[in-house]
Amino acid sequence: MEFLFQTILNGLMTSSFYALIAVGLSLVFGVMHIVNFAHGEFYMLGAYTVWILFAKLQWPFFLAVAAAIVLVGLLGLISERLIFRQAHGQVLSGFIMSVGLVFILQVAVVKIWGLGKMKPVPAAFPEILNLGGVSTSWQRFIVIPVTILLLGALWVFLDRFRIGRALRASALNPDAAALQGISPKKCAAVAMLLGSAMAGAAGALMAPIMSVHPYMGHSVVWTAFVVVIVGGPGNIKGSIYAALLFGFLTTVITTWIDSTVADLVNALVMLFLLALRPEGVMGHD
Amino acid sequence: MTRKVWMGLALLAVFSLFSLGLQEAWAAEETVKIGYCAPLSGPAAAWGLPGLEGTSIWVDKVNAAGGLKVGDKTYKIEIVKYDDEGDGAKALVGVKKLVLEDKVVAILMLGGATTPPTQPFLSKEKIMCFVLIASDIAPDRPYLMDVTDNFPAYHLLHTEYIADAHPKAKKAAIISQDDEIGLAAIAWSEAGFKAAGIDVVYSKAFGVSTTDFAPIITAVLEKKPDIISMGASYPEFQALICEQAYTQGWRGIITSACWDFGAILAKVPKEFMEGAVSGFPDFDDPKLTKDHHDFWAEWKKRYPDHSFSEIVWEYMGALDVWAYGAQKAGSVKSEDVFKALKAADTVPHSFGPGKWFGKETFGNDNLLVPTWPITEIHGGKPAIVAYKNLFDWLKDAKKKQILFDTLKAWNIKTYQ
Repeated sequence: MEFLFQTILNGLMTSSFYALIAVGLSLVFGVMHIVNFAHGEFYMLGAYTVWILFAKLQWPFFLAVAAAIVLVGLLGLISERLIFRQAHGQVLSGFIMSVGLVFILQVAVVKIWGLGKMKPVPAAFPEILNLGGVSTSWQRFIVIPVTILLLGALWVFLDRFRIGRALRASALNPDAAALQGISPKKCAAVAMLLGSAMAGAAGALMAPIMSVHPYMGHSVVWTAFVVVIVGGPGNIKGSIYAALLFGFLTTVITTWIDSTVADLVNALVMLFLLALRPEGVMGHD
Repeated sequence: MTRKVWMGLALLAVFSLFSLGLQEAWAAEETVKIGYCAPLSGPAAAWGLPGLEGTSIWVDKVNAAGGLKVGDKTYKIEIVKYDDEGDGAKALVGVKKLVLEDKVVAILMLGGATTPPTQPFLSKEKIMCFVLIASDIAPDRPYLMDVTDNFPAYHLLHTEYIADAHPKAKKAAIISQDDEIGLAAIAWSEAGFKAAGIDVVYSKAFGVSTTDFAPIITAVLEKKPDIISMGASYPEFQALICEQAYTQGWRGIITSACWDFGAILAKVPKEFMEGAVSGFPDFDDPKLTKDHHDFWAEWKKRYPDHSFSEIVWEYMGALDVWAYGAQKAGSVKSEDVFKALKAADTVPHSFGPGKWFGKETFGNDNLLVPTWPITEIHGGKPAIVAYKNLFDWLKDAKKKQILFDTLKAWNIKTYQ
């Protein structure tokens, strides 16, 4: 029984992480129709921010996380203004631009902080949390409530605030939204700010749990794409369901079989679901 | 003859003498280059980067003493480095550049994934290649040697020590990444545990792209092991594995081919690692020699904030063996050094006289085996607690058969 509960706890943690990284990507695609491959690099920059502020400069952990959210969000905003604005609505051009941004950000990080060993980020909350016979560290556990908090805040923003509703309208039908006086440029900027900030948050929260290095965004962005595609591009609710599906699938298969088989099964499930519903499980929002 | 002709001849004579003098000076200052093609970035960087610290200390010491005397010549030594990132394709580019452009006479490499793509070229060029992975040794790689690290053979000694020192520990789990290095570690560790009478309850490789070890450790702990062997997991994996084992509440004996203690202690308290078994002492260990202590002092002076690992000295250890071979051969030519080394009954290894081993297991006697120290972590630092010898271990025919049966079960070729 403990084994089952431990697996459920692991699955929840993995799903939370997948949701956090995928929702931002889905939001950007929904509003801008851009496949942002640099989302993984925003995630990496969030982790680097925590490494510098928390591990090296001894800032309080949550202050470092907040700084990562703000800084990476602003970087997303700048990249929208300087790069992605020219490709708004053009999937291929946006994709190629994002690949260019991947290289720019990776090389910049390598030039500034070097390659070499992974950056060690100690746990801010190394204490062990016991939950009915199963245990994890507080550091891992906080990813779950923080993800719920951030996704909840995003939900409220998109549902209750005028600019949030404008974002959803723009994602649903950009032309109709523009006719209603909603600025597509403003929506794109806000979507990029929020999407990048979510990636920064994910990187910041995972920095003490995973290895921090300039190429850490690679594997993450692949997982995020699988989640977004299955959930339905631009569909935030769908991304959350898909994150739960793949989070538990990965955890269960890794526990019972191994992690290589888990990757294979994830890809097969994605192909199967896309064959059944090419628009994603939940369709486009 | 006119005055101009005499002046011209005089100038020519002076110039010739000057040239000869320069040539003599250059001859006295001839430089021999050694390649260093290892992961200086990426997940295996901790198995490449610290080696530059030891090799630079070695080179500075030799060059400050005037150079290395080989036959009638004295050579300054230069290390030419190349970051292969632990990737085979990049390593092949690296070794070609080092051999064809830089004209190195020997190459220091980590081994593992970088060996299969590079060896056909290095064998053809007859360039000695010193690796840290003995399981890379093979009959079709005649110039590949492991003269420092005894991986994966020393897993047999670690497991034997654990059985002796912890008789109550009866169940072991082994994990390592799914690549040449990781699979060799799992196979040899499994053989060691079985030969020592310890049940192997979990023995599996994980994908090299694994970033979350929670489900893997949950599966491991379900088997209730007394011992967890991390095999030869990359240093960054070790830290994440230890963190998961610690946070999921497991307490027991950890063993690994080696440690990157700095990375591990960033994730778990040092008490968790108390008693952990490996085979690499810090060089200030009181049981080691003055040479080790002197090296430690110099290294500490140069790199006061760095954490020590075996990688700091192992590539340097290969330079020691190469220099011994070159002096014995009276030549720096790769083939001559190789022959001189192989002709010696014993070759000085950092831990004492070493003998050649490997014909039955790897197909070539190109592994230098000394009596190896066993270490336990005490107070966050490795300390020598025993010495063991591989040749003694192999004297037991039953154990030897377990080793070969287990290697066969893991599809590892042997040459019995």
